Amino acid sequence: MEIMELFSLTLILFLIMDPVGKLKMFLSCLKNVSKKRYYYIVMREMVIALIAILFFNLIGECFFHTLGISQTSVNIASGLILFLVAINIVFSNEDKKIHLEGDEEPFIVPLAIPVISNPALLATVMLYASSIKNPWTSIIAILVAWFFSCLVLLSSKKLLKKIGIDGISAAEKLMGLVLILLAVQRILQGLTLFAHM
Amino acid sequence: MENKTFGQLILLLFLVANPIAVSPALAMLTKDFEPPVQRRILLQEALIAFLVTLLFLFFGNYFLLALRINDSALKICGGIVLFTIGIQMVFPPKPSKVKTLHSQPFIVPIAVPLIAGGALLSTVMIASTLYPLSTLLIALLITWVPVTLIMVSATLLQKMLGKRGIVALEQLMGMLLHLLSTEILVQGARFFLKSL
Repeated sequence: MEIMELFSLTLILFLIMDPVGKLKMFLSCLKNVSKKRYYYIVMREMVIALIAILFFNLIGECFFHTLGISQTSVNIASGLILFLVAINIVFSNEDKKIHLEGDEEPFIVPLAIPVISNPALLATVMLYASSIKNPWTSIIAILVAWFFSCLVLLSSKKLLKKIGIDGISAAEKLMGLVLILLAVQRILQGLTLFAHM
Repeated sequence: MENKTFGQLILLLFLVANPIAVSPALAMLTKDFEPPVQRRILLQEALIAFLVTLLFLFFGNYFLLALRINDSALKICGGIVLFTIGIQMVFPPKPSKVKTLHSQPFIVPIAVPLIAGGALLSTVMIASTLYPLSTLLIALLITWVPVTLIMVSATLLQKMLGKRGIVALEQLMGMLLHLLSTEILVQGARFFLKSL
């Protein structure tokens, strides 16, 4: 049971981190840097993102406690955020590009936060931090999901060459669909909690 | 969706695969090729879309199990996606522009996501929880006959119906999709209320 929980948590976190969908953004932000520099920046940004995620994981419970936010509203609120993000992924056709001022190298913003450790992901880790009994489960899940995201982003150029920009768009749309599913499930969970209140 | 007859299931799959609405895009994407090459491309794409759908039919459920998604969420999600697609068909945001490719289109964008798009895949996943696998497989096979035919004759179809005919047909299909999606949503909501 523990293993199953760990597995599903990891999968969910990986899907919300959505490295495949973020690939294009990484490539467009870092198109002017050399190969070595690219790996360095990706790793640096990912480590920063990981720190942010772990931080929110740790403060999650006490944060909700202080503000007096119930499990019900956390479920519904994070479900709604996820839902809107996912709808946007699935149904918008334009490529959203983040414009950097000048040729500045991105640092923390936008790649680490908010692209990788996005609001939906932070809300998710906070939710799990306050609902899962064993805190190590969520920490291990975060680390494993983060590791796989790193792998995807580091091999981005090879991936792009192999499946092409259209392939990546298709994968992105499919991922978005799964995210809608997760969001709906979470909102329903919140409503169930509400009904039993 | 649970009480649908076999015929209704086929109709649903056909509407969701929606080859007619896609056919203008198909004709546009393949317009740079000779008719025999066009037919070969479209046939190949139809086959790929079928295989992708089969993949979801068989493995979709394990995926849902791992994500801990239950039936009502799946239905409501499918309803929402279909509903949004229906809205886009009735009130098109802007004329759908799929970039013309100079190289031969392969898998994307024709097979996925134009034919085996989110709507079809989620419908198949929902259906696989409700029907025996063999029934669904046969229904899918039967659905694929007209789908493939329409895809292959996309260029002819456009000539026959004209631009206006296709617009009218798309509106009609959007309306039907609305009705179906609302039905799925309502059933999902009822399912959810029962589970409380």
